[in-house]
Amino acid sequence: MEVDKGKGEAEETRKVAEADRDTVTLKSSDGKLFEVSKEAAARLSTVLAGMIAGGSIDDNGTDLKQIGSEALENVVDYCNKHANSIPSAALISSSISFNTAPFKEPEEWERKFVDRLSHDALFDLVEAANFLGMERLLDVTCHKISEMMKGKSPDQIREVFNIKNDYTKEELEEIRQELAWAFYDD
Amino acid sequence: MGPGLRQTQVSWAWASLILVLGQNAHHQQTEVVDMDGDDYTNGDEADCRRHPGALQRTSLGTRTSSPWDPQPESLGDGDAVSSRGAQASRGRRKRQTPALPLDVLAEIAARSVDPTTLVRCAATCRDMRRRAADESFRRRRLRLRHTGGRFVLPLLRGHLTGPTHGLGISLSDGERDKQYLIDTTAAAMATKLTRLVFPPTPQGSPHETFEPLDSRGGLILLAVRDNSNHHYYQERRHLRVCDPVTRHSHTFPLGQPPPLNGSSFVFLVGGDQCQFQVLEAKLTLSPYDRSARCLRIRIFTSEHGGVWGPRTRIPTPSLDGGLYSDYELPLAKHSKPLVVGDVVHWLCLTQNGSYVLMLHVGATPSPRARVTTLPASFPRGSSARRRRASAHVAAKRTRVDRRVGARRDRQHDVERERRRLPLMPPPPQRACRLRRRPGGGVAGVRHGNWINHELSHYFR
Repeated sequence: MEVDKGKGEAEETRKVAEADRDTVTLKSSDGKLFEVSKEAAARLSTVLAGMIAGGSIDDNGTDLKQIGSEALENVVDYCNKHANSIPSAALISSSISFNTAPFKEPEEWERKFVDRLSHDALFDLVEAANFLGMERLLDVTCHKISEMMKGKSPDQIREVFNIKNDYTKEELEEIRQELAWAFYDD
Repeated sequence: MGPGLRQTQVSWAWASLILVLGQNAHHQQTEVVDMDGDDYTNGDEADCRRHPGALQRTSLGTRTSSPWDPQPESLGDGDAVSSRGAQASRGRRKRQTPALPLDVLAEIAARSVDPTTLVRCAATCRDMRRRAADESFRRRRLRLRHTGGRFVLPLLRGHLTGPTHGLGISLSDGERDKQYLIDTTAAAMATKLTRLVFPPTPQGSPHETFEPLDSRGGLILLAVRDNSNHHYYQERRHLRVCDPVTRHSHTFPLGQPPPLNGSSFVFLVGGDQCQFQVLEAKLTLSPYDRSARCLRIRIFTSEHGGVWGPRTRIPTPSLDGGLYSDYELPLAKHSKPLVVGDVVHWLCLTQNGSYVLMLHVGATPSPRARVTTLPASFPRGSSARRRRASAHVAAKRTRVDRRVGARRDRQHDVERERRRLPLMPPPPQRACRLRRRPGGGVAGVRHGNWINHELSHYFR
């Protein structure tokens, strides 16, 4: 404990000296450390941006207890790849549309990025993106999952997402009748 | 999307749509239990949504309040998760996939590629249904790809029934109740009607009146008139495109110079780019002067911030209105246009024939029109109705004539004379306007253009 405290103080001084470091260190739930560029983190994640602005970044590894190391690795990977990719023209075009937040199709590298992930890793990544407030990553991952959900029946969705069915039989029948067009294939 | 654009997308409340999805779900106050065992009621969602990070932390099961938490107070009223933990332990599933919180699932559903997936998600459990039916969810989060970001049920992809008069005529109270969106692909029409309900005092300005102009792809084009000041010359009218389901709307000006009197509006929806175009069109007929027959158009494009293009004149010499016709054909009143891609088709039934006027809006370099003359056998309704229509036109013209006065009456006689002998060139009554050639022939004005020169200032 004493050692830790002393180390903490040393960190304090180092922090002042290196206030303009250009990376942040993130610590996963199982204690692994990851480095990501400060600029990319602030740009892609609202939560990390808030932390950087609020000065609550710990140079020794900011604890992200909710995120496992695999998911965090993917997040960092995504941040690095995003920093390297050139923003597409769609992102800067201004035009009237009906969306408050227009959905942009995942770009090629983003598609590849989520395609190589396993089912579990993808779910972890969605949760991590959600937790960190990373809109774009959430877009890309949710898009992938919703594509997987396409054509599935409510029962199958319940199974995949582990949702408990709390409808009564009558209610379910009512929904099926009212929204028959959504259940043609069943 | 810039912040300015967001402001223009005012939430509109003129039509409250009865969605079967949300009938019961709105008022449900579901009490659910988090994994920690703390009780949460579903409170005000809007507070949490401002901070996605803060919102989701409440639903991640292990709730740790961190020193960097930007909104710790929002933990209390966050959406709790329905009983997902209980089942996971039972091991009913084959794989050990970590259960996703419903918040995340709602995010996924909101990014669904098609409405069907969303409805099926909503059918999985009560909480999902409540979320999907939540108006703010639809308004703020839903981005269905296949509908161009607009959440449009197949049910609502049809057209607006009921009267669409055109600019300047707002709906009467009786007509308001007759506004329906119907699905034109449905076999049984009666079951596929969705009524648009206009509330008596719409939010925003209580003095707005609506003039439905056109509808396509589940979106409605309205002219909105603000009657809050009673000076005629200060009357303000805008165009508004509304999505009845997501309640997004976009208001834009009618453009300068103002639209021509009697213009019709056609609403064109782009593919999946969330873009739209508004076509302002006016068809002018002229019994004698083929060169005066034209379609005058102007196009509003929502791309690049939304601009009205210049007014263009496209000659339609073969569209013969006939002698008894008015000098213009109000397209909106006459027939609802058929729009295929970016080609607009109007069916024009005039005195002299039946025509299909086709306008290719997206043609390069400029829109192209083509007139197809339909065979005489084309069914046009009863002849009695035609006679009534022509009598109406004649009566209207007589009224106008009276107003114009005696000088006009003289010309009217000329015209009546010509009606009797339509194929003869008009006798030059006012010879002073024509120069006599030394050789004896009349120069200066060709017969074909005579009516144009002599009568144009009366009939314009």
